Amino acid sequence: MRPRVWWAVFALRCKNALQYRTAAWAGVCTQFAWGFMLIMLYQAFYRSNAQQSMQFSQLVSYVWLHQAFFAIVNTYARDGEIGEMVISGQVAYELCRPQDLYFIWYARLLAQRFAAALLRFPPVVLVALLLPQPYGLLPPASPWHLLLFLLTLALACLLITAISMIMHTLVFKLMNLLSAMAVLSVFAEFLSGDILPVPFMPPWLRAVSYCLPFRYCADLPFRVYSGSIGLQEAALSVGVQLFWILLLGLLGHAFLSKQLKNVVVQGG
Amino acid sequence: MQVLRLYFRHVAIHVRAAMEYRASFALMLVIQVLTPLSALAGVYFLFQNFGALQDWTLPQILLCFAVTYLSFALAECFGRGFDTFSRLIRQGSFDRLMVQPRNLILLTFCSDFALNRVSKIGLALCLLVYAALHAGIRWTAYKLLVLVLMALSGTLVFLGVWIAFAALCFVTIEGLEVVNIFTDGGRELSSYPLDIYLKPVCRFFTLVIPFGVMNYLPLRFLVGKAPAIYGLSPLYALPFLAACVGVFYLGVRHYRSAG
Repeated sequence: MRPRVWWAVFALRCKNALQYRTAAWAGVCTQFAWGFMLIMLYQAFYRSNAQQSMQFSQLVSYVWLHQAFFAIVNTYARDGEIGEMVISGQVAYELCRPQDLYFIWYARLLAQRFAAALLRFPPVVLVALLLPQPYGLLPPASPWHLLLFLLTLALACLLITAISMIMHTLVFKLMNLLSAMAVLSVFAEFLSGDILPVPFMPPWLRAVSYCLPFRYCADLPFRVYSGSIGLQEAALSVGVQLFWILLLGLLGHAFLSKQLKNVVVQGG
Repeated sequence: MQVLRLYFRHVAIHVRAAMEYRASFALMLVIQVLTPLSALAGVYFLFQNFGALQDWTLPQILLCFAVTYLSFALAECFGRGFDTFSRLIRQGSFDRLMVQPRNLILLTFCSDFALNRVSKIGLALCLLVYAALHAGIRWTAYKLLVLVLMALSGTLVFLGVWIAFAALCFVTIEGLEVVNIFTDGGRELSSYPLDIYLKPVCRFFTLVIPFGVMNYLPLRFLVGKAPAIYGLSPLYALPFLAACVGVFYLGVRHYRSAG
């Protein structure tokens, strides 16, 4: 247990990721285009029938926050280097270090999401706040909602990284990062409310999504902000988030240790 | 004829290559249908929730969705070489194509063929047939022809967009992520009829990058909202494609090798 080492890995990876400014601008443009498209689409749906469990303004906030922090909640994000390491056998060098590999890789993946989001969210949030209604992002429902939004978002970042760790560990079994993650990512994406916000799901599917960890990575923080989830439920959900982080962290750690025991490195 | 024979020789090679990795190929077939299925579930549940989308019914929207996804999958399958064009440039493989005594666009088409998209094409076709039967359209020979034109023109539009943006790679070398706004974004946008969006957006994607001619305009004719002449709007894809090819050759002239 060496928090200083983890922090060093995290900081180094962040600095590394912060270099990719041009990619970030491209990301911001894409996020804006998607955001506008989705809002126009939902506007057309609301014109047909405005009686919904989620108000239109709350939905607009949901869309913009989702776009702004897309790098955090993106279920498709992957670290190609980890896959390379496993397949090429480079992972042997990683194992030489007197460190628990789980935490080193966790810090890596966390930094990747954190730094990417840090570069992308300010322009999106700023412009979205300035946009005319009904297209703009409204201020948070209350200071408390803002506080809980930030807390649940930070925990969401930890939680999705724990999920991502398990996906990356699968490479040991399947030897192909892309296919190992693609199947899981599609389900994770849908159940976290990326394709369809959770309030629009039919009751049975909503129940399923509440039983799984994915909606606590995206749906929860973005709906807390606009007050679509009340303070009481949000506070309870923080507990659920902590539970999932602990559970998936332990599972992921055990899974990786088991794979490392059986790892076969070929070549010299 | 010779051109076609050359092309299908290449296709046969790519198919044989794909068949060498059967398990991986089978997995890809499954993965390819997951994304459209999840998008489809999204559309379906939104409809359950809202009941209607302006004056469009669910089968009509599904028809729109199916045409878009069918066109996109066809374009991906045949035009993979243009979809991943930046790789050709970066690896210097494009130089190799340039010394071959054949048309450059033909050679780029020959350079890759994505057989694993057949599952996606199959899914889109099934959905298209289902939607066509339930959209409340009285089918005639002309309307069937329009439906075929829609799918074909969509394929040409997606190919055109890729070919035009491939020209950009001559300047940037790297593929540009922003381009996805118009390809993947265009696919998502045009899986709904364009009239639900703001007027300028609708016009841009009908006239400049004409996704609208593959489903929105002809669909209006099919469901009886517009006169028969709208059924021929998919033909607009031809001049668009010609313009894109023109842009591509403009890029080729400014190409300096990167390999």
